[in-house]
Amino acid sequence: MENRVEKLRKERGLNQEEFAKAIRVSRQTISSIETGKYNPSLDLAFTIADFFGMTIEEIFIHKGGVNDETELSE
Amino acid sequence: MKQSYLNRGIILVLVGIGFVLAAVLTESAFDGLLWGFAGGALGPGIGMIISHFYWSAPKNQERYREIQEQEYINSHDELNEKLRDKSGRIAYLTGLSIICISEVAFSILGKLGVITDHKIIVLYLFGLFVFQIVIGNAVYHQLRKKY
Repeated sequence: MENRVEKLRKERGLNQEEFAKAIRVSRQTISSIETGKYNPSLDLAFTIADFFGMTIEEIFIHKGGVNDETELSE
Repeated sequence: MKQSYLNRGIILVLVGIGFVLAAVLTESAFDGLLWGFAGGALGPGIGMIISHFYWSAPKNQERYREIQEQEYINSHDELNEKLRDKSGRIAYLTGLSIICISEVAFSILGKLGVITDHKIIVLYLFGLFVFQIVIGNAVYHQLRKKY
């Protein structure tokens, strides 16, 4: 799963520490999400989406799902 | 800081004093154990009382709030929780393997005469092995019922 968390965070002028504090998770969690090593739970995904005032789909891009067209067309 | 924290500290100190009195006033083979319990209760109890007064001081309130927030994040952070669960699983499987290896090792050492009474150790390890598997499965099925 890809995401735009790092880009959105930087656009708002926040470092990982500040962003982590704002949504009450550890800095390591933010780092792992941004590098794609860790996919957040639905609950945390909603928290992140709420923070940026966007929907989950606008931030997280799920590839390889049952309805994923890129997967089906291959 | 919460009053209950201070209360727990006072209770621990009282329990510790009780163990000290028991160790001093009685002559038994368990004196060492009683002193151990006394130290185990008095140390944390005194520490809790001191930290209660330290963190309740007005000049430390802000810092205390920061530490509380950090502790909340550390204990509720989902990546930390996931890693703790995973490390627990790995530790469980490693523990089972070590028990198995130990059983074989003690059996061999017993047969070679390096240690005596090896049967009780091997039996104990076998019991521990079975217990670990049974409790692991029981907890798993109990948790599944909740979901």
